[in-house]
Formats: sequence, C-alpha cells, structure tokens
Amino acid sequence: MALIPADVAHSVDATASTAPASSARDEPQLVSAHLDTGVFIELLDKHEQVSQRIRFDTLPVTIGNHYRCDYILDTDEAAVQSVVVERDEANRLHVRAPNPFWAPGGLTRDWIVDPERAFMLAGERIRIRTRDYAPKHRRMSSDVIRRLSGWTLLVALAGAIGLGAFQAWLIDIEGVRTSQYVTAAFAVVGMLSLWAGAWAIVSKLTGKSTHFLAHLSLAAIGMIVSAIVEFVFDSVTYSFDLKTLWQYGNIVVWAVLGALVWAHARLIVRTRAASAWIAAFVVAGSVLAIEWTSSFNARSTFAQSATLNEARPPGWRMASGVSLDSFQKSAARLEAAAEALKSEKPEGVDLGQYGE
Amino acid sequence: MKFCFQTHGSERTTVKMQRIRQQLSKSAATFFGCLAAFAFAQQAAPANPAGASAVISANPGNASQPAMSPASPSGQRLFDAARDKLVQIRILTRAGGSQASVGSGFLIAANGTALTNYHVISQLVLEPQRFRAEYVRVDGKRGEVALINFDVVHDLALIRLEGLTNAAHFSLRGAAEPLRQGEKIYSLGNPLDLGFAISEGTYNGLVERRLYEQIHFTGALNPGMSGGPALDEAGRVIGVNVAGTGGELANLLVPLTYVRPLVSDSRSTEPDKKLIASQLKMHQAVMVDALLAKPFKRQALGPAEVAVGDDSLLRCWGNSNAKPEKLYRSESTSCALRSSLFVDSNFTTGTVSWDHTYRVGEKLGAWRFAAWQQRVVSAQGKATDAVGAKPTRYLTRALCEDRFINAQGISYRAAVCVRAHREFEGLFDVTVRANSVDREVESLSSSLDAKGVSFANAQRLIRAFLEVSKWR
Repeated sequence: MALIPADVAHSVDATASTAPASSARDEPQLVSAHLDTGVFIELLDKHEQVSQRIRFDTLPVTIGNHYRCDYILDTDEAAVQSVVVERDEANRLHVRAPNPFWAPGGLTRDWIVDPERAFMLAGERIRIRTRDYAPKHRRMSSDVIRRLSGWTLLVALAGAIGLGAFQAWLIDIEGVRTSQYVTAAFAVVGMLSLWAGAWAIVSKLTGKSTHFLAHLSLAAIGMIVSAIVEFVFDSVTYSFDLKTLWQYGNIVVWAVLGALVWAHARLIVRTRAASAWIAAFVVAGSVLAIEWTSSFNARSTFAQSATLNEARPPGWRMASGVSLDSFQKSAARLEAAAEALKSEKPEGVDLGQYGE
Repeated sequence: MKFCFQTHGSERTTVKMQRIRQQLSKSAATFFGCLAAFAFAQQAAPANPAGASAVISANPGNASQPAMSPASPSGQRLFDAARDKLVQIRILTRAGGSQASVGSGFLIAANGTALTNYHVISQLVLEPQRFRAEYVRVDGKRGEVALINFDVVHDLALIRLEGLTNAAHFSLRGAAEPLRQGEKIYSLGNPLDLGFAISEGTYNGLVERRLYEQIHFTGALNPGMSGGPALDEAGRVIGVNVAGTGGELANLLVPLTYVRPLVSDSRSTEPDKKLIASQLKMHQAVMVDALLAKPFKRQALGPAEVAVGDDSLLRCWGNSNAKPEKLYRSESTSCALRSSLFVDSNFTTGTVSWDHTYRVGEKLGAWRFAAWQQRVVSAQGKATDAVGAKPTRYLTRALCEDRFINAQGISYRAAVCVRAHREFEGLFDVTVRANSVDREVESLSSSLDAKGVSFANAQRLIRAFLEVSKWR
C-alpha cells in the first residue's frame, strides 16, 4: 500500500513524531501560525505499529483515494472523499464522513478523535494524533511531577516535619522539649533528603533532570502515609485483640514502601514499568525479609508478643479480657509444646543475626 | 629470730610454719595481682560459684578482700595437723590432660573417702566423657578421683581418692555440740591455685532468709578454696567452704546437717544427670511449698496493692524516682528467693523472683504516657529475650501465650513464656509479664520469674502472684 502525501503536507520519520515544525520544507510562517491545530495521520500495520506518519499543519484534512484529497489512500475501495478531519467549535478534533456509506462502521458519520484508538478506513488502519499527545505513562508522570511541586511539597514537608516533632513529643517524657523537637525535625529532613537525593541521582543518571523536589515531596507523603497506616493497624489490633493483624501489619507498611518506590521509579524517574515493579519488589521485599528474619528469630518470645510492644491508644476501646482461669487454661498447652522443642538444635541456624 | 606462734609444737613445726609464711609473703605481689583480676572477673558473674575462671571460687563475689589474716598459733597448729588430710581437686580434659578447673577437698575416712563441693566436680558429672579428675596432696602426690555421690541442692560431693588406704582424715564435729556465735573457725583450701593455706575467721550463725541452712563465716575465702573444710579450734570439721556473698569477708559454708545424710547414703548406682534431675525436682517442690505455705503478703505500691514475700524467707527491695520536676513517677519493689542452685558454670536454676513497678504520668497526658509505657515495657521484654529466649544446651527456646486478662479488678495485657529443661525431665523456666491497661495515665507492671519448677507449680505460682495485686 502506498501513501501519497499531498503538497501541503510533508513526510516525517515514524520515530520522530515530535520533530519541530520548523523543519518543514515550506511555508514556515504558516506552520508556526497553526502549530496547535496540526494533526498527525498515522498509518498502522496489523500490529498497530506506525508504518508511516504524515503531519498536516492546517485543518480540515481530507482522507480518500482522489487526488484532490489531502491524504490519498491508494485503494479502489475508498470513496472520492472518505472522511474529513476537522475541529469543532470547542476545538475538539472530529472525524466526519460526508457519505455515511463509506464511513467506518457504515453508519457512523461523526466521532471525536481518540488518539489511543485506530479506525479502519478503506481497509487501512488509521490513527490521528496531535502535537499535544503523550503516551499515558508520560502524561501521568508529567502530571505527577507538576502536582508534587508547589503547595503539595510544602504541605507534605511540613506534615513530615510535624510528624517527626509529634513523635519527639511523644517520647519527651523528661520535658527536654525544644532541643528534642528541633533534633527530630532535622532528622526527618535529613532522612527525607537522603532518600530524595538517592532518587535524584537515579533520575539524573537516566534522564536530564534530577526532579529532587518531586522526589522529596513524594518521600514526605510516603512517610506520612506509612505512619498513619501503622498507627491505624496498631490501634485496631490492640483495641480488638487481633493478633493476626498485628503479625501481618508490617506487610501493609512495607507494601506502602513498595508503592513509594514504584512511584519514584515509574512516575518521576520514568523507568519502564517492569523496572519500577522490580525496584519496588526488591526494596520492599528486602526490608520485609529482614523484618521476617528478625521476627523468626524472636518467634514466641516477649519481643514477638503483641502484649508488650503495643501501647494502648488513649481513649480507644480496649479488648475485653479473659479470666485468670481461662488464661491459665490456654497457657497449659505450653507444657507439651515446650517439651516437644527439646529435639530442636540448641545452636541451629540463627536467621536473626542477619536481621538486626 | 624465730616465730613461735604455736602453743605446742616442735622446732620442726615452727620452721615449717616459717616456710609457709615466707611462701605466702613471696606470693603476695602475685597474689594481689590475681585478686584484682579475679575481682574484675567476678563483677561479671557475681552469683556463679565457679565462675568462668579455671579456679573454682569459694568466694566469687569478694575476691578483692584481704586474702588471709595473719595466722594465729591455733591456725599454725591446725594447718600442720591438716596437711595430710587436704587435697586439691583438679578437673582435667581427657583429651590433652589440660587443667580445666581446680578446687579443694578433704578426707573424711581412712579408705580415701573425701568431701568437696558439687560445683568443683560438676564437669565430671555432666560430661564424664570429656573430663576426668585427679587429686593432689600437700606433698605433691596425686591420684585419680572417683565420684561416689553428690548433693546438688547443698553443693556437696562425696568422692573417693584412689590409692589411699589408712589415710589420715578429719573427724566431724558432733551434732550435739552446736557452734556459738563468735567462735573461731578456720577455713582451709588451695586459694587461687597458689598452694594450701588456712584462713582464720569467726562463726556468725546461720544465714537468714535462706531456704536451706548455710553458715555465715566471717573470714577470707578465695577462689580455689571451694570444697575445703572449715574447722573448729579442735580441728574438727564444722562445714564445707562453698561460696561468697559479695560482701567484705562475709562468706558461706555448708553445715554438717547436709553432710551426714550424704555420707550415710550408700548408692548402688553411679551418680549421673538423673540424680541431678531428681534433686532439682525435690528442691523446687520444697521451694514452691515454702513460698505458698502462706498467702503472699500485700504491700502498697502507689494506689495499688501488690504481692511481696514472707520476710522470713526472702528479702524485697524497693525503689522510687519521685521528683517534683519530673513529668512522671515510678515506684518499684522486687523480691527474690536466694535459692539459686549451681548445675553448671553456665547454668543455675531453682529460684523464684518477681517485681512490680507502678508508673504514673499525669503531666505527660494519655498519649505520651502510652508511648512511654510501650517503650519501657518493650525494652524490658527485649532485655528478657536477650538473656534467655534462644535455645541453649540446657533450655529450649521460649514459647509464649498472651492475653488480655482480668484479675482482681485489674485489666492486664499478660504474657507467659515457658522454656523446658532439656536435660532434666519435667522442669521448666516460666516467666510472666503483666501490664495493666485499664488506666490512661498510670499502670502497674508485674513480672514473675520461676526457674526450674514443674509446670504445675509454675501455674500455682502464677495464680497466687496475679491474684494478689489490685487497685486500692
């Protein structure tokens, strides 16, 4: 199939979709004046890969097999004038078929252009995009980077510092106050900066910009979300005596960490999707593995027991207790269980040594 | 110039005593150097009678005390008379014959039967395939040691010194002649592996608040003298050197009350670990029965009432950090039964201890108090785990059960952890931690540790312990 560009258009390489309009060989003023209204007509193969891309700087554009069309389909199946690409009053890009008989689908006369979808016209797979088009993940990334700056950054950073100060206040039972809070705030800022700095280096190595502030903002949000998730889990666990939730609560926290790593990698650094997932699994998985080995080493000990590691959240309900009889009855199982452990090696593999 | 300390004795005896004194003088510098080293070592393990040192300590907690008082004429006479009856017990590795530890012993029968401490020959009982024992007499003659019987509860062992017949031996002071406080007694042994020596002191009655009788000996005992005899002025045995207390010249002797049954107990089987197990079981039964013979006494601790022990059996200690400038206050009381038994240099058992801490933080508020409580209790839990949660040669790892419980109107978050004794069937180490959770700015934390008890007795203790505490 041969595509014959009309004289008002020029051919561009399929891999250079963002080539500047000034590279056009004719009428540079016209191209400049209609920069935002131009479209790319893309001819796709059956695998939806672009086999040819033509840029038109003025609308409307007609696509058909007549030599009066702007974009000529070299096929006998097409009508003299198959479709017209034009903008409506709201500046939306439309495809209109003057003759419904030749319209794709037979009856559809007019539809809004979807840059993600191709349509069939005279046996050809055609897609229309504009200069504003960006792949989905890049569009999201740009959006995220923009949203993470400005007020979001200020609020997130203030929140993280506030969280650090709150935690310092919680443990300030000696009334040291100012010095302790400032230290905590510096610690939070330092920690976030280190984290964001590491990601900024990754950004710089894989692109042109460090996006340090975006990384910093995301790190601060991650810290706040982690703290909230952990608090909610601990509180619910304690208030309702949900041991299982306590045991697996860390997994949720590390899922938050994994999501944070994914967001850094995918949305800001703009790595490939697979790389972002691998980074998330490796970082969160490693930390979870360390936690797990520590937990394994401390299994069935006081350190492992929810009893002694979770404080009662003030003002919340407290789980109802059992009688001393019930407690002793349930503890009775420990006699046989402890006897059964005699065969366990005194000095077996100590996974805990790698965990802490 | 001659030193004639003895009231009756030959010229030859005087010369011998002079030599001994000279030897002691020559050894002084080395001796005090060793003392410093021992003092340092014992700070790390004050309750371990044998310690980790190669020399079996008769006084592990007080090695820095003056080693020997100047010998009196009586001392010279007694030492001279005791020379042939004293032995040093050496524990040697079977593989290379290296010296693993040393202690003292003394003959009580002409056929070579001798007494020493269990902790001197414990390696012989626990690991006979790795260790053997030999004795060395004052004149340097040596021979093999065979185990006849032991009493792990009172730290005594009956041994046979092979190759001795018609040996000179000590006689035991009769039960009908009780010692009087202030009476002079003399302790003999081989301190610090320096050579045989005598230490003069006084009898100060029986130690108070003990499950079993022990003689309070005010005199020097040093590592290496364990298992040596304590004599009255007539040269009769009144006790066996056993341990120090950590105080200045305050040391302990095992009275003859426990020696006589051991000597008269003719065992047909070779003493082994099973004998230790049966003795430990008897001990824990005696201990728990004694503790629970009367209901626990109550003592005020802040607005709570908590369990404390019977004054005749144990001592409780208190502490408080109450200061007006502080945002919080805590008061605590801790009680411990001094009944710990030596089994191995790495393993003591057979004791019960507990403590209560009341914390209040009105100025802290509920959030900070909760955070403080969490940190304190968590740290205590981790500290407990650090010293004993992993499996060891003698204990399994801990298994725990935790619950919210209500007892005497207090809501606790409580946990009980159990470790079984690997070597001794039916014995457990049990730990209970209970933290009250029903008040926002005050709490009561209670913990109980019972080592080497049967599970049934552990349950009795837990119930008795938790049923006492209440808010007033």
